[in-house]
Amino acid sequence: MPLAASTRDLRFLDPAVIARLGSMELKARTVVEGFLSGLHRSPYKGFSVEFAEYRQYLPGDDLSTLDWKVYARTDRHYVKKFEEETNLDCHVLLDVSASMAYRGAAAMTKVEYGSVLAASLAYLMHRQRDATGLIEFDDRIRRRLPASARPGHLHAILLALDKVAPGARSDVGRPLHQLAEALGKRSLVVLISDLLDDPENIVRGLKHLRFRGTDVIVFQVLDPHEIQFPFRGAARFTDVESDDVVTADPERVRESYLAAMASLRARYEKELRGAGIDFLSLDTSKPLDFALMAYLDTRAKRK
Amino acid sequence: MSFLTPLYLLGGALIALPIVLHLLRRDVAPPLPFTAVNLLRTSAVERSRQHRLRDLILLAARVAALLLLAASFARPYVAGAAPATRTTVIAVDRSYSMSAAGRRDRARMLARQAADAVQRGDRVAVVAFDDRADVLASPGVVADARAAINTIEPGYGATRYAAAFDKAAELLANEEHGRLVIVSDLQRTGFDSTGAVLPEGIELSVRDAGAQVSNLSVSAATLDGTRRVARATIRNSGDEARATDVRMVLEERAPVSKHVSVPANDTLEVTFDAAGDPRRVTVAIDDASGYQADNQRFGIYEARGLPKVLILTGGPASTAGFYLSRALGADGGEGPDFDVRTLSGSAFTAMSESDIRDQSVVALLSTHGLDRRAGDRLRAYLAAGGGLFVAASADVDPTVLSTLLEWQPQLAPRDVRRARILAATDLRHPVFRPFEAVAANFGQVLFDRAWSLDAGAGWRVAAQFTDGSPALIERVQNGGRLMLFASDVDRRWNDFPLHPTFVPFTQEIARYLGARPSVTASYLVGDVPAGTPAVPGFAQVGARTVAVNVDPREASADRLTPVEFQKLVTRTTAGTRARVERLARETEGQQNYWRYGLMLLMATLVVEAFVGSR
Repeated sequence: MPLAASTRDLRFLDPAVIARLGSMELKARTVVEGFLSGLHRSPYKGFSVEFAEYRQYLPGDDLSTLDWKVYARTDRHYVKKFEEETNLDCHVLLDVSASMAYRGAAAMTKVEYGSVLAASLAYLMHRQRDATGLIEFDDRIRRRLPASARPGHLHAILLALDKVAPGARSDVGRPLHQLAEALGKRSLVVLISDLLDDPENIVRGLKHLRFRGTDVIVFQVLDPHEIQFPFRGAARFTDVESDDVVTADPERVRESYLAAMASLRARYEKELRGAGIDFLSLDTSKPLDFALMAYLDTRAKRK
Repeated sequence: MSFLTPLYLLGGALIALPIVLHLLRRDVAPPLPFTAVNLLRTSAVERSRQHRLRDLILLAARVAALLLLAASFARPYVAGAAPATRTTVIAVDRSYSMSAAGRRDRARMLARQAADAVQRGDRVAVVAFDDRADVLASPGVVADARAAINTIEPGYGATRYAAAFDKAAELLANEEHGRLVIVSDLQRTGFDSTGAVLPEGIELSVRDAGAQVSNLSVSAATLDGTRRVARATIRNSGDEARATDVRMVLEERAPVSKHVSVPANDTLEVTFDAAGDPRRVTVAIDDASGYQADNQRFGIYEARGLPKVLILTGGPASTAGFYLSRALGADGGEGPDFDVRTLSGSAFTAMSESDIRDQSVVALLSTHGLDRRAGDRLRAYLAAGGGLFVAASADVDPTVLSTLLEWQPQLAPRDVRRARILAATDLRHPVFRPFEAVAANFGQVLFDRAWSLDAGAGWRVAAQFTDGSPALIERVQNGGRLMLFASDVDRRWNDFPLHPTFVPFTQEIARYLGARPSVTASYLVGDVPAGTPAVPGFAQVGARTVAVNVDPREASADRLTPVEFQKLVTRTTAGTRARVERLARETEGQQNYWRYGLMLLMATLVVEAFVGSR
């Protein structure tokens, strides 16, 4: 990955390191700062978050951009330059179903990984003055923090993510439809889920969002065991959500499983991208910068 | 499908083993929580199905292998696979009752009809029977059977269905579904006390060749030598009184006749003067409508004597044998039952061998005066089937006794002087059987002295003292029977002779020891000794002249219907089982399905090995 290669210090993005950090706020800040630190030194500067700054008024500048408060304090004319509008509502949808509590050999469960990712995104969005909201769901919406750009709202989101608890079986499509109906203006929705639910419903729900003019980024969070299926010896595979049992010899079924998983991911890739939805499959053993980069990429498109 | 040794099928229960292992194996895989089970299911199910199919094939192969092994050892065969030819045995009654008017011809006709009725390819055998059954035509074609049937003539024998059934069972031994056709006048007397037993698998058909007849018969002709009277018994089996002339011929004299009327279904005794000490009598009547063979009867004078008992004592001065001789000579109301004689040992030695052989029983109460020659006589007597009774006493020397009878080892009793009581150990023994409920009375006898005997090899204990020592033992020596009583019978060692049980005890011993085949002077046609013509009349059996007569029971007019006949036949599975087993063995031996079973087993094991290695 060019981005990963360009970042010198991925230590602070490593999930194994992140998992050992204390609060969610610390985790988010570590991830984002580390990410930004690397990003500033990378050739992809265009993706950098642009900080609000002031410069002296020059003839021809739009008078509406004059910052009168600064003029009052300094008796000089300054205009706000490069400051983003804060009219973007970002909603982070975090799947907290039982399957997200699965952890194979990785340092974090999928829901922990997703929480850090959600927190990082929220932290990043907050820095961009975007209104950020959080929705936790399994087969229905469990918790909803509406989008807001207030300074204390980030803290509330991080606090909520700190207390995420796995729920029941997942039904991703249902909250997506609910959300599509609830969003009043153009927004950005970030879905963090393992997407092991019925792909038909999921895609339909995401397309519903997209149909309503919402930009969507989908992060599929998978455990390395789900991706590689490294098991050995016959086992009775018990579904953590449905208690369905399949007895199989992993060595005999690995090939077909991996093919099915690849097929599933390819289907998401194809159908979501076809609908203008960004899709990124994440491995809980890998750093979070891919996800953040994807977000920024999508965010940049909205300018 | 049947099995020759079905017990081996129990080995098929071993199929439980692979089934249980198969079921247990399902739980071998440990549970493992996972998320993408739906993806796994998609692929795993197919694999799992293949696995399950493979396991099921393996299970089926192993179960089939065990079943085939058990079935092969059980020797399967298909019953009824043999060609279904059937043999019909036609058994025609040839007893003298078939001599009644029209019965022979009707019997032949019915037999021919039965022969003609068999299906093409079936075999027919013809048997003629009365007291015995003879095969006139072995299983074969109908023509041979018809020819044999036409030769059947009534004889002098009596009807015995058992003889016909036995012969039919013999002829149909190799038939699974043979058939027997009985053609007879169906006399009830043909089912004698031995019964008539027919194997289960033989189909029985009954043809009634008889019609009710009114028969007069001479059922007895006897001579009473002491009273000089000849008696004839005339029997009327008809429903009406019949008059007839009874003619009697004594020796070679001129016939004497009496005209008598015999009531319906009754008998009449007719007496004639038999002066001149005749030994043979012939009685005849006229009865053209009834059975011809029973119109004549032959009688012969039989002098009957009492069984002789010889008591050997110590000599003229001895009082031994007093109680025994009195007990055996007791008059039971019709005179004594035994001819008792008491002799000293020396007098016994002087007796001729033939005189000794005439003795039914020899009671040895003393060994005094018995020398080596006496021993030879005693042993010869025993060898001729004689009965010897020995009672212990001071006059009987065990060593001398053992020497006389050549006992090895010699008898070595201990003379025990202790009060004991006799107990009848085995009430089934012929000596004690008549006592039954009163056998306990033996317990009233007090024995002060007795021999303590060692009932070793060859001896059988018939009674014991209450201390367990033998009281009465017996053995068979050289064909003769010998009993040894452990105490005396002269009231010196006990008070037995004073008790009521003494007389019947000694008499039963004498009867038991003296029991021998009777020599008769009269035979029925069906019982004549070998070499004697089986026709009524006088015949010579060795040096004796004997009378041979038809069986008077055959003269009975009591007949059965075919249905009643069928009900009286006893069916047995014993012969059937043996026949079925033999047929099964033969069939199985021809089919050899067990070999195919083993080949299938090998093929199954190959499949199992092939599938199991995948």
